[in-house]
Amino acid sequence: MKHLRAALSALVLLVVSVPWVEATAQGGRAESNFPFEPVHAWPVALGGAGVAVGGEQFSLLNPAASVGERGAEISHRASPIGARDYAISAGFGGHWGTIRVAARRRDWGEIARDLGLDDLTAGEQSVSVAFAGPAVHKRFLWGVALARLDANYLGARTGTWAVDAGAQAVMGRGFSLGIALLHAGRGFESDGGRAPLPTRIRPGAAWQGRLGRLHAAVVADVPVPARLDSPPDLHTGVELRGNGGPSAPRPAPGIAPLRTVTAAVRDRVRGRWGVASAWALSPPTSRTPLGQCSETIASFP
Amino acid sequence: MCIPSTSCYAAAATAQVTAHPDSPASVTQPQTPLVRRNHHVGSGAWIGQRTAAGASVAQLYSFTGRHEARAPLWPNVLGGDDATVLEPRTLGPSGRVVFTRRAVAAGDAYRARFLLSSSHTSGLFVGLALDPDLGARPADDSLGVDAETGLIWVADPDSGAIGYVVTDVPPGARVTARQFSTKKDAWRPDPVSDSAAYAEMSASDDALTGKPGDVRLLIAIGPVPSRTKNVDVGFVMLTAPSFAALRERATSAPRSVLSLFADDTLAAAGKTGIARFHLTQAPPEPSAPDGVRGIAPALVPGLSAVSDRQQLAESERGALRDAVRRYGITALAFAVPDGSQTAVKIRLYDPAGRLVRTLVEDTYSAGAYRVQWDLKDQRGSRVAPGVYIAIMEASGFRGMTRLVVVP
Repeated sequence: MKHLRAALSALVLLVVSVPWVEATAQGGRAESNFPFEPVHAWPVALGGAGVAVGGEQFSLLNPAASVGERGAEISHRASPIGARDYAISAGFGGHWGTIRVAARRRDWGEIARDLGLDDLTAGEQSVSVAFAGPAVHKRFLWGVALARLDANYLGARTGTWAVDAGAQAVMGRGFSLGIALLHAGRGFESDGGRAPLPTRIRPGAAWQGRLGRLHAAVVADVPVPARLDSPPDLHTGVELRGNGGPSAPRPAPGIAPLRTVTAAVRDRVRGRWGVASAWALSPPTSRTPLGQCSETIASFP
Repeated sequence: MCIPSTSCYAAAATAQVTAHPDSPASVTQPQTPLVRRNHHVGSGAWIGQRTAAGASVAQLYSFTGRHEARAPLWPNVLGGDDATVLEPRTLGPSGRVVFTRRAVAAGDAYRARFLLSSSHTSGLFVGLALDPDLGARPADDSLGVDAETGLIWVADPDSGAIGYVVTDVPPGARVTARQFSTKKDAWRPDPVSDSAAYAEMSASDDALTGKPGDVRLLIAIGPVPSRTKNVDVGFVMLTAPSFAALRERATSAPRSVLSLFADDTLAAAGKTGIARFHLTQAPPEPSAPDGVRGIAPALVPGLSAVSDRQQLAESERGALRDAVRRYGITALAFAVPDGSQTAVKIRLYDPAGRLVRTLVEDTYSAGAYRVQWDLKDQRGSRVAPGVYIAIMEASGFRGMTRLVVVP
């Protein structure tokens, strides 16, 4: 019965979101490539999947993932294509839910330098506010987020608003389901008309458990374009690690373990493999990680 | 008679693009194949310094025999090998001369950049060897200096008009050009007062004079303030069938290639005397195994002037900046090497690594090409504003550059 309620709630959420979906379905423009992908190495290492996984690292995939996640996170990632991603977020909350404020920027640097102009830059940034809360005896989590998106390309600016909404259901025995409507909005204004946001309806599932002494996770997402003009993507990831790692149970107060996860990531642009690393440090006085950082630390042919 | 070139040299081309962003994607191939006339580009750079005491050349030497491994075929028109290189006794720490020859799509405009480093730069001479037999026939060549365009030109009935446009002259420096040869009757000094220096030079060392009948173009730049440690002198070499065409080209083509050299570097200046200069060819992508030199963004329409960052006038910089802001960076230039046909593929990706468009996928002969992106993706939809990644693959070469679509 509880599971049925969760499923019905998710359905209601999608129905409410239909106007946003229709709004983005207008126009013959290709979708914006504004940076919505997760910055943190953990979801990156899981192939970009994680709509059904809890944790602030996955809040970009599902705002419901922020439930109960308090504390700050700082992430940084350097890309071999010359971009740098920075993200910072902070969460506050209580039994009533969690509010998370996040900011993100992708900086392309002096992108016209090859043309002899070293004072023209490009970059995209976003600021978002999200609220997430539990329901149905904390087995059903939901969240919404409102984001302001701005971009500056060689001095030409554009901006828009976007809404995310999502839900997660804890099914028991390590299984969880998630669904989210991501990046709904009117799109970026430009000379050729509005460039729509890459609105996705993103269902997914995850299993996290133990295999002997090892923690294991299997995650899969199937983001479906809201405009239904292209086939759905598939993101999958498998994690197998020892004790520790960002998804490990939180340490008791007074313990400050350094937890890391390292995974190989595929750079599709350059056709290379790289190594993504994430770390989390919990100070003695806090029950939540103080800071987390991710970075592509190496790439090789 | 000119010597046909056997050099295999492909130039990375970054050139002005004239197509409008709304026009269909197209690859522009030069209407006439690139003609590589290495015979008229001197491999010998003569760097001399005129002392303050009088019209004499303190040191003059060439590094013609010291080719970089990347340029084994560069002709040694000075007629020397390692043994002919005159090693000055008063060498400071090595400087570097970067001699880069790159083609624009028109196929016949090149720029050679000599970066001169010296602690005594009251007067510098840069010698460019020309056609080895230029001047062998008394009436077949003529030298001229066009002050209005900064064009130093030689008219040769075999190869057409050949010219050098001096582009990066230090402020206050005077540029003069002279043509001389081992044949005394080939001297054409201008101004006459400097002729003694070259006569002395010619008579004192056979190694510098090369083969009998050789004629060289000597460009004197100076005086340069003595406190100047680095003198940046740029040349654009042009060829055209007539002087009139050469002059027309001198007023337009050089500017389109100036930005190519913004990243050239120079080693530290010598402490005393004349710095030592090493003549090299410096292709932009030295790691390319087959001579494919790379890919670069191209300029936007409406631009008529691009120059070095140091030398760019503020008005020109403003015009360039405004144009780039207006049109974005939506064109590419690429080059393929001499020799056999080369399969070239250029794909555009979004920052997440998703393929946006296969812009170029064909086999190309040697030359420089330009491609203008029509801002459409594979399905024909106009792309969103943003940064896109262009990756060129050809014969084991892989190069990347970034394009920007503005709102």
